[in-house]
Amino acid sequence: MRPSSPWAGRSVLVTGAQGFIGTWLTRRLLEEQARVVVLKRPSTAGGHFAREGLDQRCEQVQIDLLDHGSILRALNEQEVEVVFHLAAQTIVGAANSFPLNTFEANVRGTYNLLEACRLLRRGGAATRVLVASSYHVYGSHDGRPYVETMELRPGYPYDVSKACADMIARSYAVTYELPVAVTRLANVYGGGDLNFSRLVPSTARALVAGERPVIRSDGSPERDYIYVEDAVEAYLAAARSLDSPELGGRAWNAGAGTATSVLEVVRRLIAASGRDLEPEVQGLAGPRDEIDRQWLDSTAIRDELGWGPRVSLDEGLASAYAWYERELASL
Amino acid sequence: MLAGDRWAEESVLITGAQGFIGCWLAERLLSAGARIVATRRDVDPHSRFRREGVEERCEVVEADVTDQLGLERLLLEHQVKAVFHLAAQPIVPLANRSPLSTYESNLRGAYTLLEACRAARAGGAPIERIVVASTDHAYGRHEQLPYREDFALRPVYPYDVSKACTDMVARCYARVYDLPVAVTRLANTYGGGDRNWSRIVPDTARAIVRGERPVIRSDGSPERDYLYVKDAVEVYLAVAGSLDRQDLWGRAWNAGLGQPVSVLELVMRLIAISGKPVQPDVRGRGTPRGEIDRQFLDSTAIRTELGWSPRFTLDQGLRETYAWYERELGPARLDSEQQVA
Repeated sequence: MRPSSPWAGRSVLVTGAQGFIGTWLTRRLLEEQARVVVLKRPSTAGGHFAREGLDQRCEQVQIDLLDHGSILRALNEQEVEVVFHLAAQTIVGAANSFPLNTFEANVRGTYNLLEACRLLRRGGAATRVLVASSYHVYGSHDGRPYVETMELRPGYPYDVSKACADMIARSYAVTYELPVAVTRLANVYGGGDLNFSRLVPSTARALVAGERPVIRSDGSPERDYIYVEDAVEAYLAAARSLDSPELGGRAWNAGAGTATSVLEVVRRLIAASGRDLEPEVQGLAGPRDEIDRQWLDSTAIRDELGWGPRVSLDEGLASAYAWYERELASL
Repeated sequence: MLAGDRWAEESVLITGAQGFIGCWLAERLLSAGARIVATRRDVDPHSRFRREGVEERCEVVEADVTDQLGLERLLLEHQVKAVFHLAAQPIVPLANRSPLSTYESNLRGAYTLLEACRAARAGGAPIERIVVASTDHAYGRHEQLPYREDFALRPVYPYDVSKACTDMVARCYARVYDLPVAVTRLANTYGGGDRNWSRIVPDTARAIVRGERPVIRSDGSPERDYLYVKDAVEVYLAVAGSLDRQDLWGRAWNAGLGQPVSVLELVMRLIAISGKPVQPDVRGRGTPRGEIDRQFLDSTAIRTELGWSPRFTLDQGLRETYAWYERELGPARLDSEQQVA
């Protein structure tokens, strides 16, 4: 154990704790002996969170992020010092089908939470907030690596919802001196991600089942991938940056700093699985005139906060695959 | 097509019709023969909307722009063909004081209305045009001047953020759902009927009418671009008309005079127009928090592509405006308000 951990004994709220990254973050904070508060969910049976017994180790509070008063009450009574705001409707396709729900969850949920933190801080509480944004906020920038100072040019509803939350969060920092940090993470993968519309989960599931992984595009789009444990460290680093008041209101990119094609990810995952399978490339969305490449410049978080990815893509995919192989049979 | 023909018998929804610009827009559309449905939340008995007889010519529906089903019902029942979304909490210091209610009205109101339009259109409402009011505040601070529509939206303070988010959401609906949506980014709009006394023109005009010294809370140097409300109304109509062309859906349009005017100069011009022997009281505390020190707009796009141009110079606009405040707040009116009180 680490008695000197900066998180030991601190009251920390994780919204979205039952989600993919939230589960890993919660486990990590519990390891650091934080007192973790999570939103009570109607049922977490079957989820990664409950299966790992985390619901037995966290305070579960009744919060509806669309009900400002419920947030205020819970933050106040739980004496929350740090909020990790990860709760969101994260599925791009679902956002396109039901944009209202996505704006409600991602935008309104965020300003309700920030407002509760502002009011509590005004009343003397030491609340600080980390808001999970995403590289999706940047939109199209001609294949250049994203840097934090670039214009936010979001396209689809999910991207727009995150850009709104990102702007609002930074505005709270500047306008009210609320200690807020924003993270813009690359594509995060790892065990526990059950959103099978995403590349790594869907490919791993196919491989575990002994089926050929399907690539809907021509396999050429290039993205930046980080392993979930590196993502968790980025959240912790960004939250700790708020020890320095002058860093409040910053947005921090965190990614591998390289772009990997969809085909390459699938091939590496196949290699990690040891299966003798070939991907089925459907080629529905390509080829294009220009390379579809999105990647992050993570210089700032590396130089200023000392964060860097520790897990290579091959190591991360091997760990992820091992999780799917172990868990999918029992789901 | 003549503007008069376009709007004759058209069913038009205006949110924020009780507000300053919304009321002028409603009047203009009524005179063009449109049937106006106006949503209203609070009732303001002192509004120009009520006092100058606009209200009784509109169908006023008590509705909140965050009530999706209510809006959807209204769009369908009135077979609305054009929507002008002006409802907002527009005052910068109030947004600083209460960001939550500002985000609720401005941002949640906008995405809820857009969603209601999308649903109503899918359900058979003949919505052909949706104009969403953004603002020059959405740009935030830029070194480069004047502001063009392709500048990054880089807002900092809550009002500006609420409008930038609204702007992004509106253009997203146009692009992703093929909705006929366009966005206006107007300069500081002034004119009769603006009873937001925290704004420079109403505040100054009221002080002068009362024979008091107009107070300038900054040092008088912040420069902004000003637009007379009658010109602003024509922007809304031009932008609504642009939606005949699908290739213009999802556009944002700047509109202003394109000339930066300092607060001090604006006040001095109003004083000159009034003919009163008062001097401004410059409190000299720099640029107030939440305000941008220098901003003006490049309106080339709307001029060249939509043929809009301002018809009022600053002095012409201020002259009509001052006359309104003098009439509204002059000795006769003040006496009658005191009698009522």
